[in-house]
Amino acid sequence: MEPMDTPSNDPTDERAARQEWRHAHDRTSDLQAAGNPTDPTMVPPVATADAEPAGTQAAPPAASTATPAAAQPTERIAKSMTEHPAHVPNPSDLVLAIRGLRVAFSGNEILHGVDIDAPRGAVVALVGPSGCGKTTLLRSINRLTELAPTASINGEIQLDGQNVYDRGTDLNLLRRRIGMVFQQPNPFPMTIFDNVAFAMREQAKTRPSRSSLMPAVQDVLQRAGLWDEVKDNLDRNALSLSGGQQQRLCIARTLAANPEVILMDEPCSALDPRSTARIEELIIQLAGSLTVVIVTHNLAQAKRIGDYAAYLLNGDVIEQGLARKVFEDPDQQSTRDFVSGMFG
Amino acid sequence: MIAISAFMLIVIGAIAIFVFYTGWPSFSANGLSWFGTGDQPLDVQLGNSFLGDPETGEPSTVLNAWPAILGTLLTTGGALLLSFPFALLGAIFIAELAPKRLAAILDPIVTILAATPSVIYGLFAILVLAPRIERNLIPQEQAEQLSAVVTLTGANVLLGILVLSLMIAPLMIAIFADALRAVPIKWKEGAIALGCDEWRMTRRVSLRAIRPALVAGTTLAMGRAVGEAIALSMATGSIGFVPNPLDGYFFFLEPVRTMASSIVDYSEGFESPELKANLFAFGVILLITTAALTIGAKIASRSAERRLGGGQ
Amino acid sequence: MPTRLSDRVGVATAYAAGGVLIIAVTVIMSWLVWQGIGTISWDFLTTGPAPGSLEQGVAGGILPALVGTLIVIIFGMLVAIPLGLGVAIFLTEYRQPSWLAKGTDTAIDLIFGVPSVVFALFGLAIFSQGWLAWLSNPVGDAGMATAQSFFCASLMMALIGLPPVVRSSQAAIIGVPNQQREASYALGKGRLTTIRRIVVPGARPGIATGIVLGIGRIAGDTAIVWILLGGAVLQSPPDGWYLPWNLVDFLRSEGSTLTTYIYFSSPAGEGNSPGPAYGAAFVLMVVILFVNIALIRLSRRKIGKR
Repeated sequence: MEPMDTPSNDPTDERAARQEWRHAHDRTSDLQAAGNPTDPTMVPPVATADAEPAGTQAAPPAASTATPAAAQPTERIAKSMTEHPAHVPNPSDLVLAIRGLRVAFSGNEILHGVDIDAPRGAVVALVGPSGCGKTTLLRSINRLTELAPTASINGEIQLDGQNVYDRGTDLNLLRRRIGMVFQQPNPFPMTIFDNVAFAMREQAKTRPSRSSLMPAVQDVLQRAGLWDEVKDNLDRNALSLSGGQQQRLCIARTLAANPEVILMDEPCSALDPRSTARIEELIIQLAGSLTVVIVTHNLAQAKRIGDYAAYLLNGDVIEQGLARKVFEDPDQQSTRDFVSGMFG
Repeated sequence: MIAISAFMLIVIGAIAIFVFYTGWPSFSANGLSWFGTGDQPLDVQLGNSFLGDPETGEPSTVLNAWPAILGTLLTTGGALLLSFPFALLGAIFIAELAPKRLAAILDPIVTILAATPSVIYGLFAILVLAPRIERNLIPQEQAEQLSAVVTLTGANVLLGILVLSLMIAPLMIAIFADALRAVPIKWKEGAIALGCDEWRMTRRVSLRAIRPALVAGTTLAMGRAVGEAIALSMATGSIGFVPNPLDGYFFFLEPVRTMASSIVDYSEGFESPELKANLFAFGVILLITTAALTIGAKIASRSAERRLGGGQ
Repeated sequence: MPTRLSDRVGVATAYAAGGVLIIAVTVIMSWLVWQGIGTISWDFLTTGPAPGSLEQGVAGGILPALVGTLIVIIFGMLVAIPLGLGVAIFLTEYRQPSWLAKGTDTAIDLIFGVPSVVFALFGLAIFSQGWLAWLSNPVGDAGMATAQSFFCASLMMALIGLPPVVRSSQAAIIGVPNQQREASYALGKGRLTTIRRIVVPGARPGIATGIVLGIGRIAGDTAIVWILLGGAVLQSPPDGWYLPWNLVDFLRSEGSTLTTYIYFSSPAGEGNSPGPAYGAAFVLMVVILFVNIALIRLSRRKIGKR
């Protein structure tokens, strides 16, 4: 891939342009907020079979190397002078930069020139009322939007500085680097093992043996917190799992492709509260080692897990920045109205 | 409504009873040798049951139906072997690979081909394909060597297989392509989001999901092939010959006569009770085979569906 | 292009299969049009085969065959539509007793799967009984019947046309929204009235699709006609066959349809005159084409309605 060297693609320029991103964010307090009993959608944390201790999310490997980037605090943000999320090593290091994205279906424009940044290792929550285009935006990142023959897409989406809409982009490689978890859990009609091994077999040059795949399958199932529940019957039909298990299986299946970014399209909307909590926990654990862009219409969820947030309305980004800032002290009246609905 | 539905059961029962009853004398007279090979060629036996045995003058009840059974097996088996992979690939082409505009044109064309009467395919086979097979595939010397045993013409096993394939391939393409399109979008997008192109997606996910349709379409096509009378009467040469595997490549250029086409070929001799029993005996075999295929397909696709739907 | 060799081969063969399909369609259709259109003339469509002419491949038309095809379609569907609709309504609205529902369901599948030549044999066995001689003509005084007539052929054709009518109607009846039924019940209408006034009208496009599919199957069938309508090609329809008081006599007589005409005049039959066979095949194909255009129209209408 050729490096992009136009000025607007330079992450440092971006940094100057988007000061909101630099603002600090205290993840721990955010998690505490998650337990706020006044929040009707909130669920108490559940004990999981997973051996990982609670609070792992606060200490990903990158945490120690993180440098506080909030050198120039914006005057508008008064209350938080703290650093950016601990597992985001450098908020100006953008893994995804969406620039002027316009998407239309049969001439009917859904997104009107959207700019969004996703720093490496962060959880970026896209929120907004239904029909605001957030799902279309998400699906444009791994180029699923264009599967609809009537779609027309303009603008740039840079993955590590390279526009994914460049001609000659290897679509299959792109989609391996940017994984996706869908709204409806969609495990394939095959065994649990085959589901997880799907991407590995897809990427292998020659047909790999089951035993050679086993360690990796175990690893991703453990990361998805599903291993203990399924280790004894990996050959069961994946469709016989519960909805929450199916969704975690889909996350494991996506992790197995070893992506840099995972897109999640309302991954919990079809699940019960217990499974939702389990998956939120998982997303927090995954952040840092990879970037998560999640669409949700559950504001409480966005607040619980998001490091950064973008609020979309009718195909425009109204406001984006640190999740805490967007949710607690938004600049725009429109955002404030939307966010206040969260507790009202 | 209840009466009408009960009437359907009566019709099916009546079909089975009447066909069995009329065909039974042929089985009872010949026992298990009905299914075997006989001393006399099939056509001579069928002729004797109509005209009478040359020695006794009495209509003969002897029937060793193996040549007709083999004819049906060869043509049906050959057509399935030829058209299943073709139909599957063709369906993948139409449903997944072809440009949308081309697919929109091919779709109704396939439906029309599937609805085309078999007699038209038979006519095409005998008038267009047969002369070309005779001219290009049958060397004169070889044909003369075999002429003592059988006359090789353009109408033979190969042509029978081709005409059956023309009939059943569009049918299978239509069923398979519909099934491929009906694979839930969430599975297709799931595969694409994991870095599959359309071909890999089809191979690894869709083909698994459409197994019930593959079973149903193939058995339906098989039933059509087994029961096809007219087109095969036109295309196979309609000689009750047993192709000899020792003839190698000529095996497929030797004529046969299938069970279904025997019924049509000898339909003018129904006033002879012996021939009638023999032809109805063919009908019995066809009825049992197609009924077994229908019910087998139902059970198979249902269990495949259950496996897709979750559970064990 | 996929990277793996096996995938490349697979994609290439799929494209090749598509190519073969396109070529085959083009060859067959252009052959039929090329050969058929030369034979078609007003005379060809409006006269019967001239005496002795078919064997020599000369003049003569297909009028009796065309009429025969129309008659087996009309009378076959006249039986198939009420039967099929009744079965479809039973299978969707009643389903009681359940053993009968299951049995009928399997019976329809079997009728769909059994080859038409077996129906022909069945028809031969049952219609040759002396007490059914009024459907065809008696043979001598042996208490037997010829079992060869438009009546016999049409009755068996009804079985060919039945499964599509049942299945399409069933799907359409299931698609009628339940609120409409409930609204009718709420107005105090009985079950039968609801079915007649609400369910059947609502399912009309699906029922029509089934009927058209059935017509296509009947128009294309050869074996039943060959065995139950007579294996010869009629020179011409009897005089005044179209007059209503001759109708019963006419329907008790033997005849031919386009399919048997083609079979008879092909090299495999006795006629061996390709010219008229091509002409009849072309006309039959036009019929099938119209049937399919009607089907496409119907499916569009169904989609448009939603």
